[in-house]
Amino acid sequence: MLTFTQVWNALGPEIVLAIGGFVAMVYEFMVTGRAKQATPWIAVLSVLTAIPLAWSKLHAPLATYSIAVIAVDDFGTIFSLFILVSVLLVLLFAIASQARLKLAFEYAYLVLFATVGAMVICSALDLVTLYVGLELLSITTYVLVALHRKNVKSSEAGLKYLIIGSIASAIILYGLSFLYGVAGSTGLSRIATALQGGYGSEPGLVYLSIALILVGIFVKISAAPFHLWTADVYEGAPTPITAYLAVVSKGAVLGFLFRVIVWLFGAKLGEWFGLVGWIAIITMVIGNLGALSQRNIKRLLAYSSIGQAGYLLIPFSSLSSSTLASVMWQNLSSTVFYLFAYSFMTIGAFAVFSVVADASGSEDVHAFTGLSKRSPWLAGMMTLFLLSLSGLPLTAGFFGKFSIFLGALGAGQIWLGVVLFATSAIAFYYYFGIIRAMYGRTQEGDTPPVRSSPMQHVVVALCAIGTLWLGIFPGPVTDLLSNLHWFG
Amino acid sequence: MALQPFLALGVILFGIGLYGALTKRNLIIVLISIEMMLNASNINLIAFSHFAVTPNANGQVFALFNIAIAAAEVAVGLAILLAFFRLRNSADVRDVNTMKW
Amino acid sequence: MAEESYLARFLDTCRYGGIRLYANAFIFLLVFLVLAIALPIGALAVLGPLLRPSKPSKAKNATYESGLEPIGDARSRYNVRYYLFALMFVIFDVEIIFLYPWAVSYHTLGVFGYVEMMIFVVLLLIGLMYAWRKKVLEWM
Repeated sequence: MLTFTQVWNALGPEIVLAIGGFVAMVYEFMVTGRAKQATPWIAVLSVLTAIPLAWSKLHAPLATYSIAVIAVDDFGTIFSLFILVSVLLVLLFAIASQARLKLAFEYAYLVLFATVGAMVICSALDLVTLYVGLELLSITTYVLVALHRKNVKSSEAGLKYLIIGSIASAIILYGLSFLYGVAGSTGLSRIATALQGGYGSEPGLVYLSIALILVGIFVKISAAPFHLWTADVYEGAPTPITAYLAVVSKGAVLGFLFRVIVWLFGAKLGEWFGLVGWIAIITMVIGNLGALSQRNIKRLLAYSSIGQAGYLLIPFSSLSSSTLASVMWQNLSSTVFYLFAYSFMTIGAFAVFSVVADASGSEDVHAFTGLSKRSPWLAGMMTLFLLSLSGLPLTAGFFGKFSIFLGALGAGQIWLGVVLFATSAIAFYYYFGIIRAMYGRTQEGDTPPVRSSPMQHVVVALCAIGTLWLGIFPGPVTDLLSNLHWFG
Repeated sequence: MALQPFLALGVILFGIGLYGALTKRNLIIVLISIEMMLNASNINLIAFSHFAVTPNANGQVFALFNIAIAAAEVAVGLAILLAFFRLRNSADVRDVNTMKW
Repeated sequence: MAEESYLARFLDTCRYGGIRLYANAFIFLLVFLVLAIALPIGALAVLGPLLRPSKPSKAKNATYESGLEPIGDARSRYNVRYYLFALMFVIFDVEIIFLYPWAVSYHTLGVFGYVEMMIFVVLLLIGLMYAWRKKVLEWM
């Protein structure tokens, strides 16, 4: 029988976030006028409370904490930490751009609820919990994308995201229902037992089920050829929400992918990861080639995030090369490291973009013209984030890509490494377009000065510190990652 | 009764739903089609729950959760659709065209 | 009591009265079904046109709307506010399905289940308060 202590031990950070969300909700609808401004700070406070709680769960003994539907293992905890850190940055980013964006204050607690869903799917041990968490994340983000009710782009983006996302969810659910049918249980460990390290008694149904789940997940992390919704949704959504989609949504669904596929089909990985390798290649190529023709920076960053999804799929594909546990841990650590790096550089790039786009009223690349003269600090930071995104040394992106590359080489997947480098070169080309606009000669001298609030600088500075720290002193983080007991 | 007819019903429902969601122009019909896909999974789950080697209620509980989730999804869908309708005065897929490429 | 015993006797007859009586019970049903379909069709579609005089006029062919002049198309749009109420109803209606399994196994779940369910109901209440404060429940 469950006790409240067990539930608290297993789900502490999630419970804190949910309580914080409901407190923020009640506060938001009870007060009027300027007092509403405090709502996002309640959300920030609950995230700040949840981070130490999640941190204390690292290296926790598995047996004492786990309950039937939620695992407390380092895999779930480190993904939770990644999600919490990213959500903190996104919330600060949203608060900073509130003066210009005028988001409805509902975003504060909707982000928290979505985050609870994201954390649940990274540590769930039961199909029901997995699916409920996935839908909590998805449905809440549909609302967040469409938050600007009076804005055509936002509503359209919400509608598109809703339809594509719901179809993907329905496909995943259909796949999960076959898993239940084959194993006769919704618990992941029972299913793994029933599959007997292979495909169990009904291989056809299991094949169908994996295929359906993979397709649904590829849609959700916007892997090519299921990426077509991405640019539109990212463009239409309010910019902090775009950052949330690009980082938290994507990272959490990647956690779902690892949890379900590695947990259930660990022994048969090789047969499927070749396919995932091909998907990774297509995603990297299409994402980075698609970005070449974009003039709108938000869409450019959207295509770039498709490419990043491709990089993130490489370690997943490299897992297959060997049944050695060390190979798996190595690839898992490079995924998590890259996720942290990706979080800092993407949120930072979106934050600078939001300041610049607000100043000039345009999302076009021309908005960045002469930024180095108007605001050298912002131009420098944007350069840092772009260089990190394209993977130049001394930045977090370089170190992350390098360990992914080493993992691919170690797995004998030379081609994945080659495509990783080639597409990074393409990426550098289109990022360089922005850098050239910022530092190049300006024709007209009357470019508007960039107005920015201290809060915006704080967000940009935090992201920059993260990017540089992971790039120059990656040691502590890699040590932490290599000492984790991933699945208990 | 055997398990197969239920699975066949599930496949047919899922197929109709997927076809409708991908081809229909009216957004309300698209939402209905998505509901059909979810219900196909529910039929699967309940049939598996009944015909399992050791019948258990897990599948039925899963189906209950799915029903609640589907209701939330369609409520959000209709709400976003209403917001879109107020702006564009249309509920046609072809009018969701402000952003391209 | 009397009705119950009658029902029980009827069911017993159906069950144990042999296959003939069992079949007979369904033959009655069939007869009623046929009558129920045939009588309205016979009266309205066959006998009616034969007996009544046929003198159509514009007023007679018009849609009957309680004696008023019919206005506009029958396929009118509903006010959008109905949708808001329908959405609210759907959500709260569906959440109730979680209460039924809990009620059935109330004794086995004990205090833990009770507290969990109370939390669930309070969360729903917060949702209702949200709708109330945001003036969704007002017909303005």
